[in-house]
Amino acid sequence: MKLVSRREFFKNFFISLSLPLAWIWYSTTRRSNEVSIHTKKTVIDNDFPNGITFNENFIVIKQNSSIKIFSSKCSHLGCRIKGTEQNDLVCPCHGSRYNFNGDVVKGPAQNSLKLLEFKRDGNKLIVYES
Amino acid sequence: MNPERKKYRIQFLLEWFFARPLGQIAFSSFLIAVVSGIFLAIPFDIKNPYDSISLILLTNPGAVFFRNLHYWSAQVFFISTILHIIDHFRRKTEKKLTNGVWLRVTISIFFMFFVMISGFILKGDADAEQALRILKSLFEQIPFIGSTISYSFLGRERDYQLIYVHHIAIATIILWIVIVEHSKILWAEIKVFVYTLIFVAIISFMFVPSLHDGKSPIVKGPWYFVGLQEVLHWISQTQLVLIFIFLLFLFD
Repeated sequence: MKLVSRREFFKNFFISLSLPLAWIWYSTTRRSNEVSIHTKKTVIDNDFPNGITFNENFIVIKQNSSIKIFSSKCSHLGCRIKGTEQNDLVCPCHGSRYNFNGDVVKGPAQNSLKLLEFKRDGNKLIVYES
Repeated sequence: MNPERKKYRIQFLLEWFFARPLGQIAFSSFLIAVVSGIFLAIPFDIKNPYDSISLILLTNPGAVFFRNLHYWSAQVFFISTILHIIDHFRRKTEKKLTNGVWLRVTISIFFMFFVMISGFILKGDADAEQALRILKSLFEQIPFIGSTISYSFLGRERDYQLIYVHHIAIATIILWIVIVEHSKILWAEIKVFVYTLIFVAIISFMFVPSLHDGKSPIVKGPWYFVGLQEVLHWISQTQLVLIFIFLLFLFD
């Protein structure tokens, strides 16, 4: 029988230990991530003026009684959009532009802004971010 | 000027420049960054990073100095480390390291970038928030383990705690171990350390790194990511950027 040196034994032991450890790490972070990514509700006053209002997490576009609420996260790399330029919503990080329907006018973003669901509750709006 | 002479002069300047003890300067500035970081941790509030730094800037000149020292020593550490790596490639001395040490030194480059960007994020200002979102998105685009990597390094959204722990402890300890392992020294040469400290202290007296109050719509990342920012500006498929970075590390 071939004898295994102490050094080799520990080396193999730690290598074989790394796989279950990696699995535990993966499942722990995945579970924590799943718990933290639940649908978030935000309640805001429904007193927006006509036009565009920038909130920290979303963009409200109001035209009389019609309201659209988009996530302010740019679909390219998640920067928050906080301003307009020449009638476009502009990402401050990499310059992606969207029209007021949330569609991409100019890249690098490829996908439209996420349209958020909301519910009217009297004078309040309940916005659902997922 | 005679082109031959010009070439010789450039060659001489390069030789002179790379004859500086770049590794020692990097280690010295790393130590200064660690010690100044300990002093900075006292007035810094991780729950309100932006407010606590604003308060430091307004009311606490001593802490401002330590913040400046921390910032500028980190910049010197980063630049001298990059030059130190270039120098080794230039002199072809990188082969002196064993494969295991080489692997750990290469991995530590990632931790060096991480410790720098996490420091930038911990300012908590408008630039930092956007940088955090970009980094999170980039990590999440890594196939299969993206969300695990993102969550492990950056934690929950709007929660700086894990980034802070990585910045002050984990990444710093890993860097320290790798520095000591490959250089086989426990402390930087005292002469180099003193010169580096004087240089960094002078800059710290003169220049205060600013905060972005969010009023200006222009977002600026750290200077060492300008190249990456520019690439991301033009490329929609960000996975290609990740593959390129991975290949760069693989062939290092």
